[in-house]
Amino acid sequence: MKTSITTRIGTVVLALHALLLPALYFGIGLIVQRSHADVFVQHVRTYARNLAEELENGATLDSPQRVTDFLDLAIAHGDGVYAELLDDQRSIRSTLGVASLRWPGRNDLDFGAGGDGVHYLALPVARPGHSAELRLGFDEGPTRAQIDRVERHVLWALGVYLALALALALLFGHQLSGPIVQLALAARRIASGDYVQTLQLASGVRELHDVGHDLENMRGELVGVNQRLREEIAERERAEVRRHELEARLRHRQRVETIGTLAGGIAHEINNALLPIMLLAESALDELPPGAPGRADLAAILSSARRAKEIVVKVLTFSREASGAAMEPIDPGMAVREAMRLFALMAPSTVQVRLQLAEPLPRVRADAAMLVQLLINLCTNAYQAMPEGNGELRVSLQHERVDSAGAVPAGDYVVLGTTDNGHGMSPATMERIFEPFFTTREVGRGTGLGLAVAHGIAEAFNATIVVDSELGVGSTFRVYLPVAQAGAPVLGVAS
Amino acid sequence: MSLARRLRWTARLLLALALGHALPARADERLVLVVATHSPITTLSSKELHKLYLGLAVTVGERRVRPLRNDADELMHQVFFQSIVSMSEPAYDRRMLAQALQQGVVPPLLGSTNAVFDHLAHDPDAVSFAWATDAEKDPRVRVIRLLWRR
Repeated sequence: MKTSITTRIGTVVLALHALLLPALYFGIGLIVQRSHADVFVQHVRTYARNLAEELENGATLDSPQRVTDFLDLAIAHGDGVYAELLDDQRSIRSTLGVASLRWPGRNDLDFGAGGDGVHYLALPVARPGHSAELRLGFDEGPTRAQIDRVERHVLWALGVYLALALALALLFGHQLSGPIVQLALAARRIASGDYVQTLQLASGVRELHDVGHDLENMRGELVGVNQRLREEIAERERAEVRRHELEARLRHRQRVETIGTLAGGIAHEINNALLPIMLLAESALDELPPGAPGRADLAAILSSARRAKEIVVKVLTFSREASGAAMEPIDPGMAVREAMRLFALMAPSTVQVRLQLAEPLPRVRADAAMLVQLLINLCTNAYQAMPEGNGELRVSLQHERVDSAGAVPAGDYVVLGTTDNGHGMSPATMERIFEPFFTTREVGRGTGLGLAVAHGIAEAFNATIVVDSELGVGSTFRVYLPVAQAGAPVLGVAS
Repeated sequence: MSLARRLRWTARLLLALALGHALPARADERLVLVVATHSPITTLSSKELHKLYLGLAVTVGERRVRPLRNDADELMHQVFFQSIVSMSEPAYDRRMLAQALQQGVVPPLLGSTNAVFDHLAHDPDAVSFAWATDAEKDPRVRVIRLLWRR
């Protein structure tokens, strides 16, 4: 059974006194009894001695009346209850004593020896030619009452002492346990996460103060270790998230590259097949006179071939097979303004375009025409995501430094951003938006090459596109264009 | 009171508590005052005896009487205090201690009646006490008065 320190100390003190106090009471009672008995015995013996000497030396024994008076005075002046003079001829007894008492035939040598409350003693009275015996009895009652009274006082004193000792023990136990309880509460609060809680103790007991001091030091150490562990765990979790993101990006990139390689190969072959079709169709069309039958068919063939050629070029752009990219340090602001001017021509008036360009901006290494195409493709995608073409499109261009490596490698960037309030995309859709020919629009309403071409251009610029989207809220595309380093060689198109 | 005396007193008290009786009984319980057979002392009053054992000077003729304490048994020990000095034991011990510190006469204490009788035989001025049965059959001593009887 678990008990508190106060209870234990109180129990120990109580048990200790339960053992000691009876012995103490018995000892004190014995001393009181003996001291009072000694006083009584001394008194009665001296008194009796004086009486005996007076009888021996005086003329009292000569007259029975004098003896009677003497015995009466012996009773009246002392605590006597019995007085008798016995000699060979007679027995004279005082009438002032207790009439019921009879000489018991004993000499009491100690207080209370007779057990009847009367202390009897007999003294020989020797005179020349006359011997007698003085028998006296003294009441032990007053002395016994005094002993009882003192013993009661002792009992009361011991009771008060016990109460005080118990109270002091409980007080001491409380003083001892108070800081410990305080320490336990603080420890519980610390265990529950309240690390600010201090373990210092306001105790006058040196050992408790030392324990509190040491525990406080330990708490400081634990808090530090705990903080470091939390930071390490958080860092590991962040690293794990980054690793997953990088793995996902790598898988996505590999898939897009695979698709790009496949699409580029196909587009290249189709392009080779289209060239004779277009050349022969143009040649035949030139040879036919105006209004000749078949001329309209040849024009349709040539138109379709040109349309196919455009698609092939887009696919080649996506697969970075596009040629002619002029990579040089350019002012991205100029390209963005040009793109927005062109987009304004094709976008309906229901789309509210807001342009926010930070000035001045560092140069980026890119092909200006392709950057214009990239932005137009992003804006077109945003416009098409708006329900019935109504919405707001915000385009921004700003300088940004990325410190920690995440989705975007650390470095200096000019960030080209487009934000629309269209229908947004699901995570599954976001996984595939850069794949060529992937579209969420109905068949015939789009080629699914806009974002794929934008991705291809960004790859050619060594740029990174980051997409955030939420269904029903809208989408944000951010293109991180690396800032051109001063004096750096002009890079060609990445393969 | 000496430690030995205290221990003896305590043992006696415990024995009395255990048995319900204070002291053993004797066949003939008479304590008598004795002197050497050839002693010139013929009698002493109770007052003289009292003074003698309190360490005060008592003379018979021109000779000072010397008291001896016989402590042969417990009953005699108790009777000495009750009937001879008429004091409680602690009061008598205190007086004797004061007497010793003031270089007065303290009655010598002998542990057996035979030793007392030997001492009396060689000192005609000495007095002591003994049980009547012992004194009456020993030719070296003479009974001069009765001190106590049960």
